[in-house]
Amino acid sequence: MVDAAALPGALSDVRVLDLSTRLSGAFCARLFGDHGADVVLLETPDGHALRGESPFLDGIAGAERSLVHAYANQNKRSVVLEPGDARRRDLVFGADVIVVSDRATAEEVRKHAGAGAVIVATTPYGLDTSMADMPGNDLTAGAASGWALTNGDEDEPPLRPTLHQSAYLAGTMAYTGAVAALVERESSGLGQTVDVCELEPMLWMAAPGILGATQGNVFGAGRGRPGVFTGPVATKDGYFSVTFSRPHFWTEAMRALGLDDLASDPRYLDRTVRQAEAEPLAARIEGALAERDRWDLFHDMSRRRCTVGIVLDMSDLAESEHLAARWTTAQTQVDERPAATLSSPCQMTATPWTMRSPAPRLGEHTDAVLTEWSATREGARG
Amino acid sequence: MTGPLDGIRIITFTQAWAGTSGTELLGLLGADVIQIESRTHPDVWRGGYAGPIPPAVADPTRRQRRWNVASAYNSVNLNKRAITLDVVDPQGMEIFKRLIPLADVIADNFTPMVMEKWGLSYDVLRSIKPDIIQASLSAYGATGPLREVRGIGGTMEPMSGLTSLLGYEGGRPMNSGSMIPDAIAGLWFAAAIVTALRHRARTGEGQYIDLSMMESNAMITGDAFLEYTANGRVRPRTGNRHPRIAPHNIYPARDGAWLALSADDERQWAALTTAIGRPGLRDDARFSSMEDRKRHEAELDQEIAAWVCEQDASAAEARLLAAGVSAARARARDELLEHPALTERGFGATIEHSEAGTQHLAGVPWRMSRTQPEVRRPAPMLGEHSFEVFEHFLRMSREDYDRLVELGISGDSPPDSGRVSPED
Repeated sequence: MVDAAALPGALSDVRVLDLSTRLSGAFCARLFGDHGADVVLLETPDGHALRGESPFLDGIAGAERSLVHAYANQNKRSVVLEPGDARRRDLVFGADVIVVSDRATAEEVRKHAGAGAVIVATTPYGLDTSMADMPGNDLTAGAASGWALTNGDEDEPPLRPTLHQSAYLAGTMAYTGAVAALVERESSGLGQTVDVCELEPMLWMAAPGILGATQGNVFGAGRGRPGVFTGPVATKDGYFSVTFSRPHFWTEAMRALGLDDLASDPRYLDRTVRQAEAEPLAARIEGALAERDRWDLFHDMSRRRCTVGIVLDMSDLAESEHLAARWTTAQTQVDERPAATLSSPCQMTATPWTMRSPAPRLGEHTDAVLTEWSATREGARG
Repeated sequence: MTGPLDGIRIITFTQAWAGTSGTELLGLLGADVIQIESRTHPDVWRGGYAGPIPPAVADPTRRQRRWNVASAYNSVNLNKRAITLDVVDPQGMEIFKRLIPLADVIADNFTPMVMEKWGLSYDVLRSIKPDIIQASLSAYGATGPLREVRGIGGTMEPMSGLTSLLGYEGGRPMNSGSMIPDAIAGLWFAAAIVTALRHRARTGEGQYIDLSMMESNAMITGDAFLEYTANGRVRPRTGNRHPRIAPHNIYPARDGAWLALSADDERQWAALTTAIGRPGLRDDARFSSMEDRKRHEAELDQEIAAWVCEQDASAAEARLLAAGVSAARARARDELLEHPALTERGFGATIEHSEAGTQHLAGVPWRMSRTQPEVRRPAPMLGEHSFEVFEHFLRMSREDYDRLVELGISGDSPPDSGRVSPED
């Protein structure tokens, strides 16, 4: 087994200064650390905002106990400086990438950053709009991006995204743009500002629905009523999703459920016929599903080349043999307690994407970083 | 300069949405992205060859072919070129192998067995171009017990943990209404590829990327995952509520619209109570701290809902935002691009497609100060750039290209015989 953390990361020559105050920016900076960059989380003595974000270890608040901090700030070093400390400028000057979360900080950083610095900003409404200083969060991004009105039950309020979704996606989008800017810097030697509005990744992900809305193509299930044709339904031991997007999915799924009359009736290969008879069909299918174990169904239907899915919760993921076999999970520490964390969305043969160090304790690396980074600056001056 | 990846070339077999959206991001960043389809297996999001032109797109003044006007395909393939090349045919495979040296990245979103079956493993690609980056996206990845299992957005969302977190308090788990797992995986796909490109730019070394939809979507649940592994607690579904913040909900307004609002800290709480004309709420012992407000969230929701239901949502949104309170009217798909911040940023793109007509689309999700990416071209039509690519890169003559068309190896239309199997 390869010790991924022992291999140099793709960005091991890159220094990142994390001045974020939002989850999107913190997560963006973490991704640099996942690839071996030296990421310095610059904090005031009060600590980064995520240190105060629940949930906490054992439900007890504390600077080292936030699980959001533990996830989004892994693979970083922490430096604490008082507001206004002049050494902040040295850190800005020494960074290849500087992550910010608001317009004022972006403007301040531009004054002191090197010509090759990539400044990456994630904000609710963009750096240079009339709304730049207005607040926003995952809830409002969900509403303004159309997510809310396409999710939930039709007789219930619109539904927000899974908690922090827009922030994680904006952070990943910002990372992608910033690394692309580093690719370009290899030839130009010049940096630039990469400005991500947290709404835009959410809208980019709604692209088929946006164009479809103007061209008569309703995309996705949208808001509706529960049932096997729109989402997961109950099995004996959990919830299960079946898709019928291709004719043989329907036929084989019906056979797997022992509903041979539905499998052999050619009328039901036509989606419109199924829609017209949705209620009685759903009752029979859901009744059959309710009699079965979810993993039994999954393997049976997968062997039949149907596309199906079990609603796995966090305990299921933590115990997943598949994820363990792919080293998706790794060990971290939260306030010195070991815990498994999600490490990597993929495998890369030359430069593994990996967990390298737990989220830092507040100010844990202040002296070391100030010494190392100032030495670099002196070297640059000399 | 049309983006930071100007000069990078991606040759991609991606279809449908997941890998397609990832390669679109690279195209938006300026890369030359060339999609390979075959006439027998066009991109499934083209919707097949049979059937009428959708009425909303039909235009008798244009030549329109069904497979070129599908809004799903046209929404996620901006800035790409498209060629048809049947790589199952030995002659088609030989042509593909001549294209490999011209590529920086070869991408696909097949199940892991397909590229192997075609003899296009990373070792083979690397023997032709030593610094090639091969990027493969599949449901569960190329290794592990589930590697051969197929998946699509509707099944990867539950398998990634996302579905377990989406839903109303005490209610059943829900899949999203827009099949978001594909686009999430595509975003991570692009992130991995640019990372590999940066490494190659520094070292000259290529690599193989194996990205799983399950894992990339699970990354969005990371703090919930830690909540289980550290605290032993499976996070429940909580509707529109937040574990720390109250108020935090979506409320019905007078005009039938919905308004999302939250007061994320004490400053926003004070601003909210002033903006809604209820400063006295600050002195109510039930609401004196965030912890108190969270503890009395149902009562607080009643207070806020009573105000919102007497407002028009847009006016309330403007009023609250101006006061410094997080707020947004819930918008429908046909008005998303009109959001004031997005129009100021030029996010929406209007582009002319020669068969589908004028399109209003989601555009570039970054603003860059020096190498601003832009939407340069609409989604390509089937085989639109076949001859252009073969002539330019392989010096192929028109006669030789026409011969490929006759053989069904390339072309821009359905095959002559009944060899089409776009469903599978």
